[in-house]
Amino acid sequence: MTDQTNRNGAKRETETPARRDEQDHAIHPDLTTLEVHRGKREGDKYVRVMRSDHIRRVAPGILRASAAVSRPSGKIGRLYTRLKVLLVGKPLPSEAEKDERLNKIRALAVFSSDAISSSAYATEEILLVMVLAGAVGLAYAIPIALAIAFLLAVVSFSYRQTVHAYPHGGGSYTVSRENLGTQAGLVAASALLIDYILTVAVSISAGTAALTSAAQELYPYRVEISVAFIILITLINLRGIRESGTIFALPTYLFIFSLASIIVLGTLRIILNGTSTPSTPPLHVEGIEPVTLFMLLHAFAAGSVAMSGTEAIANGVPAFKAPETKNAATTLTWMSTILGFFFVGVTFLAHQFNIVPTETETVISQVGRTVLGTGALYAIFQGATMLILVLAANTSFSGFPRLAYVLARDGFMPHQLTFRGDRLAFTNGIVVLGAVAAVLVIIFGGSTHALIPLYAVGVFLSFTLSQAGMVRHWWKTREPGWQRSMVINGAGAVLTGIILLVVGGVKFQLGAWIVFILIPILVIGFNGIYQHYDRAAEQLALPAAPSAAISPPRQIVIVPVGDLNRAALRALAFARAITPEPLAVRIVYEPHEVTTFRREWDAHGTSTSLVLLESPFRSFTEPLLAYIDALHRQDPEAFITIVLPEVIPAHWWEHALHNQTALRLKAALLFRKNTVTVNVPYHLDR
Amino acid sequence: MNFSNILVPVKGSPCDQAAVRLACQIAKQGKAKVLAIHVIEIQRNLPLNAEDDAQIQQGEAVLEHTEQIAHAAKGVVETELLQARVAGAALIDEATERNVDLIVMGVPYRKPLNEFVLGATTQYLLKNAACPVWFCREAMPDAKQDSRKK
Repeated sequence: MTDQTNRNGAKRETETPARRDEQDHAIHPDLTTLEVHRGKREGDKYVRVMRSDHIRRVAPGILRASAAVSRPSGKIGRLYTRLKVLLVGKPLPSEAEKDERLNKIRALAVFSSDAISSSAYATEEILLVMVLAGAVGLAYAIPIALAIAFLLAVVSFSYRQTVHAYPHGGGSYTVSRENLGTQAGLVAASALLIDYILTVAVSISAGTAALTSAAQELYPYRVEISVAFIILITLINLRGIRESGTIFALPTYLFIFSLASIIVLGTLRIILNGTSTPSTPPLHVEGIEPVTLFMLLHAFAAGSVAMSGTEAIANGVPAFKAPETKNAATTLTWMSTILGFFFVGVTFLAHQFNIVPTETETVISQVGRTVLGTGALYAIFQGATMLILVLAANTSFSGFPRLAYVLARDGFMPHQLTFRGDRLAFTNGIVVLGAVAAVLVIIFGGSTHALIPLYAVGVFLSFTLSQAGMVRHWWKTREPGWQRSMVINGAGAVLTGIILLVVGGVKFQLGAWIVFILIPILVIGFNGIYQHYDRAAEQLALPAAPSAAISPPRQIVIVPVGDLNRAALRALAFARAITPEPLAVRIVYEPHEVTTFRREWDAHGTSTSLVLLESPFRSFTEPLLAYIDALHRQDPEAFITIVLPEVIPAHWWEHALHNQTALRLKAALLFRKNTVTVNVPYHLDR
Repeated sequence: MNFSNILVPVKGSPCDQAAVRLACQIAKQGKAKVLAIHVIEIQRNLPLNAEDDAQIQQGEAVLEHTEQIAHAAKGVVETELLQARVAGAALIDEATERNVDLIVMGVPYRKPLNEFVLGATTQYLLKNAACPVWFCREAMPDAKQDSRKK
């Protein structure tokens, strides 16, 4: 060993050239090497621990990449990153997952906007059916509302049990799969996925319709506005569930507070002053049909749309802060109580104030106007109602990606849907939902009335399956109080099943048939994906007992050569590093090239075997592929490695001028069995 | 005063923080580079290049924490991990090799025998550093806490 003194007087210990060469080329997988330095004074020595800038060693063989790794070095990359941070936020490390979880206040805003927003139109749905029987029919609104509230309580109770029994989320899908079988689970999942997509398309279009009603000059741009709303909600959700919860909490709580105030004030007014008349004089309500059992069932089914979105909390239990199940169950109770109170309260007030649905004004607006008058408070309430209707879409953005994640985790959807992005949100699921909903909005020209009949069928299908699943669950587990729980869930299953039949029957011709076709298609698709993953896993699985190490395959290395240049020589040198006897192949288009190229080849002292392949019809890829096939037939078990010289130009805009033949060849070889393509780059400086 | 290369020795003690923040502040004024060094002192019965994973890991953690302090102070710090018999000597040699023109070091307030004392590394730097050495001594514990301890 020798010493080398640097310009500052410190001496560096160096190795002999041979040893240094050996050490210089040694690979240190831990990226940590020790470099001995000699100090100024005799005997002073110290060691510099050479480390990577952005990858740190945590323990032997375990490294950790810092956030700096993701920072791009190029201008375009930096600009893209800045834009991404602006839109989506700074990336969060995996350890931050616990901080990203929701407390009950935020969770109520995220998971309940769909369900709570239903109170804005559910009463109207009942009245629209019962008004056909005139004043006699309208009198049935309160009993129907109470019956739906009872059903809501039953369904919520069932989902509370689901939350405790299945704390990893999944809701109806998990319950149905565990208790009724995989196919029942997939039917529930398909129904819910369809419903989540429809919720986004319908609620965003409804919000846009409210906006274009107020500002009619925007009507021609309704599709663009709807798509912009979808993009906005998608981006907010990509920022992570905690942040979207914070952003959407304000409008949700504004609606909750204002509607609760209206119900309390309205009820107090009735108690103190007796029934007051509505601001607009009531229409003369004359029945055109008698009250029939079908009409009652129809009204019951129509009002039950209030229950859509109830399952979202059971799907998203892992999104809650610990203790997850307790917090999810409490939030579910809050949500059901609020929804039940709003629904019964609005129906009660509508009945007391003799309100009937009109074409020009919604029932909830009439209730609000009767209680608050037409001042600023009424305007705020109307604004909050519009916002909550738009935000109903947000529940889907939390429900769909989670359900897709659970399905992907179980192998029924592409594994990419389990991916969590920079902000720990299920990025791919969120983007897929946004994209499909946007496509629906564009296809239907921003008017999604045609989609409404499709809506709610999926919800009741999943409710019914979930309730039936819980009945089976109690029967299997026989936990304390199982008989009572089983009766409640059984009643829920029968009731939701009846509503499913009624909703399906009433809406079938209006378009609900599409759902009954889509669900089997989705189930077949899920099964196909599962079978693929299953087959792949079976073929990739390691044997139970550790097998002997796989011996390296024999290799046939081919270097297609165009012009004989530095790039080609580098590729040939690389090929010789893989095998001592690579084979260079040159496609020859003109007979005279045979001698000229051979002469050139020999002149450069290239010892690699050369095959000149004449192609009289001037094609490149086909003769080469045929030659590769012929070679491979001589040793079918061998691996064919195609080493391609690749010229990398100095500027990105020059890329199109190079490597086109290599690209074509790579594309042709992409799915060829036992074939590897290797690019050997040669970078041009200018 | 303008400096171009500032060295901050870090041990992982709370008094490092003020030194790192001060170095970042000075660096911003003169566009200087800040180099934080943690030295692992190797016992005499072991070879100097002995790899003690626990100590290297601890050193990495100290340097990572230093980077976080610098980041919070809106500064950038380069970090270095050394192994030596005597930390002070390695710091002086590294300072010479890297053309350091200021050393900023955090010093704890210690009174083991009722007398304020400086540690061995601090004293070594005071005696041997060719460049200026600035110390950030942590605040004296208040009288009440002192009397309770007594």
